[in-house]
Amino acid sequence: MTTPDNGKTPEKKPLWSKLFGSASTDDTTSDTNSTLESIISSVEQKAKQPLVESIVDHGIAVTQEKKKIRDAAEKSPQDLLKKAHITFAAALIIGFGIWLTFFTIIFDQENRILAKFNAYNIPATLAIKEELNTRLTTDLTDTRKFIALIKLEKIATLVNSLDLDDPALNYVAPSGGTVIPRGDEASSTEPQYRMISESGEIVYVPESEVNALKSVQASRTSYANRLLRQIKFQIKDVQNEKHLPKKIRDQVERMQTHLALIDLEEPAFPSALTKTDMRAAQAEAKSILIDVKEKNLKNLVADLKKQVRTIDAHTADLPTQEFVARLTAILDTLSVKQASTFEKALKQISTLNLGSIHDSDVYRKIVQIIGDNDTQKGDLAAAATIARNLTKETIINELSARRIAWSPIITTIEKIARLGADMTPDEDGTAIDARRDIDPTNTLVAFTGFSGKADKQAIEVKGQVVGEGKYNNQNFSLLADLIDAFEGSSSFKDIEGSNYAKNKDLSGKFFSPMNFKLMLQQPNVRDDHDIKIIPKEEAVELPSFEATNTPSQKEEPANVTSEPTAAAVDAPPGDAEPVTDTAATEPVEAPVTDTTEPVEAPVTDTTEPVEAPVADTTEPIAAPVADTAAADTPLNN
Amino acid sequence: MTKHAQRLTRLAHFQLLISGLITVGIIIFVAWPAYAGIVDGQNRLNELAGTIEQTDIELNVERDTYRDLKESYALQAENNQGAIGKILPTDVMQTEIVRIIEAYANSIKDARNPVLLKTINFGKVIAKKDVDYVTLPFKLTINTSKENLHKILRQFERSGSFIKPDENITLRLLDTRDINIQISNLTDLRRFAGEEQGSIDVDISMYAYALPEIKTVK
Repeated sequence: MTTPDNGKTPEKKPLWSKLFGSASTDDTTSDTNSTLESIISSVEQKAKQPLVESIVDHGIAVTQEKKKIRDAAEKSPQDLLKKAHITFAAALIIGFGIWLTFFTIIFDQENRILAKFNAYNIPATLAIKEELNTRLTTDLTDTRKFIALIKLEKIATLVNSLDLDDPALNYVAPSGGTVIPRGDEASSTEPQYRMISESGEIVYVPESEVNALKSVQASRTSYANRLLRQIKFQIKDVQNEKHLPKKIRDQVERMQTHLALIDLEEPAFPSALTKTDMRAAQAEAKSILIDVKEKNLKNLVADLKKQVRTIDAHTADLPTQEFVARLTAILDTLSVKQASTFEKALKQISTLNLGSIHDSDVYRKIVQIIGDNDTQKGDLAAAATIARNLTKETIINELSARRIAWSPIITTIEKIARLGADMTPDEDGTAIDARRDIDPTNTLVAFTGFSGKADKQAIEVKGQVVGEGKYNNQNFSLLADLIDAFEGSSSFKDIEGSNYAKNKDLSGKFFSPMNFKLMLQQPNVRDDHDIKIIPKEEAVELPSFEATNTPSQKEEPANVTSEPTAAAVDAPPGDAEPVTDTAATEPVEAPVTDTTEPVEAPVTDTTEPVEAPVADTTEPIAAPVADTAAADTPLNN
Repeated sequence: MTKHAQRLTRLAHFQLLISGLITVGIIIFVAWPAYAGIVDGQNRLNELAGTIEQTDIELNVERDTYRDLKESYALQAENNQGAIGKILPTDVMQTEIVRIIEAYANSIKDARNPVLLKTINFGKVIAKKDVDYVTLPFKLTINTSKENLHKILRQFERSGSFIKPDENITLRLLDTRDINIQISNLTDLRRFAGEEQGSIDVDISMYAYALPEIKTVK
């Protein structure tokens, strides 16, 4: 085919036209016109040729060109459609390619896309991992709980181990100088301290013995102090534990409150108040111990069950499967509340044949649980021991709490007979107990017998009194004061003692038999007749009791005389002198210089020779401090 | 251009448009979320793997502590079992009580503070249905000084405590039920009160306890 050669270069078509042909009908028309124009110019050139030949040639050429033009016009949209299909397919392929690319990018470490895809089954993997994480976290929490409880159990044990009533700790060394006994009483030439025992008796103690006891006391005090500091520190540590159950946390708070009140720097450690606080803390500690031990046992049992659940016996042989199934069933019968279930489990497990386990991993796990009878004790045996101990400790605690400590009760009775019920001053500083200092020199009241009955929670007291000193010829008032003092004490209640009698001996002194029955009062239970106790903080604010030398007592003799009226009525004529506290400060016979001295004061004068009058009886309570504490709660050690 | 050609041309253009939309749609609604999900899942997995690893490390540490504590706890229980067994034995062990009391009385007596154990009479063991333990009642008659009487009573009162191993305290749990103290030789009040101790006769009714082996539930 010839191409028109008009000296012009053919017009450049756009790329789009090259790719897809004419994109519009206008372009197609203009192309057709230009083709026709070139044909016409060709015809004009050929006109110089012979006409017929030229006409025929041109007719053929025109026909051919027209056909071409027609074909081109028909073909152009179809090509376009074909190309659009290709584009569509390409779009799909590109889309798929993008998919593939993403997965390839993500998974194509080794070009094993499918394998990787399966391996990275993300949702399932996530679920498994999350379950694993939950299980681990639960395990962690359980473990931490157990650790916290064990720590607490150790603290509670430490609290209970501290015995502030220990006589060695409470030793009160005699003050003043020593004396060398003379005459019959001189058993040795060693200097001796003269002191008054807790029951008011004069005793001589060698200096070496006093020094030895002081040394023991110092070491016990230091030990108690260290232990208390350690306990306080450990309690703070355990209080930071998040995993303590609320009930136990509350108990720890209460125990900590009592312990916080203890002043480790107090000069006369341990004071009666310290002992009271310690006793309260120990009561909490005991209750914590039982609760914690029970919880720890529960944790151990849960741990045992968890251990057996982790044994995968599905793929093991039949005997192993049967063994694990039976072990699971046995462990399911364990009950923390019944120690007997542990004994039964141990017995049942002893019938299982450990030799039937051939899988070493399973064997190891089972031995951890039940032991192997000879070389290793399993966790179950330990749990059984703890369950057994817990049962026994609960019984021991119950029996101990039920006991009555008669020694402090007797000491309290003797103390009340000498000093009245309580030494606590009233809000205005005056003594509430006007009957205080009944027989401070221990010369008016003598006990001849005590008869305590635990079942009746009572003690009978027998003895006799003499009407001397401030009770000169007033035996009945003395007995009445004693009854009121016992009643006013927080240790006794419902005092029975309704018989009053008086006999005169050859020397002219009046003696009266004493026969009282005292009901024991439960600690922390207040009786209406009890003398009001002022809290320590308030009492500290009050004016000094001894500094005033009891002027208020002198101003209020009615308090003393008004109560024993019944006794005064029975008294013979001449005996009915009003008893005042002035009489107490000016004793008739006993060389008591000042009966209003504070109770805690030490013996001030021990340098007197033996024959000298007992001047140190002016401060009768040089007895061990334990007395005061015992007086607070004589029941239920 | 014929109508047919024009229709074909429009169809082609429409298909091109759809192709574009599909591609963009796939990218926006399928490929990108899938990619983001995969990346997010991977990140979560990595994060979880880290957490698990961390928890595992912590757990191992705690497990070690737990194991140690459990072992010492079991050991402690084992040791306590011995002490508890002495406080509350499985048998009443009457002869042991005699030895304990006599040994203690001898340990505190001296010329100034004598102690004379006069009698110890044991009753029959009492077993009640509603409690697991059995009770052995016994009566003690002593002649002693006041100081030693208090020492003896305190010793009984402090018995049954296994957490004071350093002290010479009777482990066996004893319970002083009734007490009858008679102070004789009281010739004069002053003698008793200050300068001479009276002779004291004491009758003490006591209980000792035992917990027979825990019965196995049938």
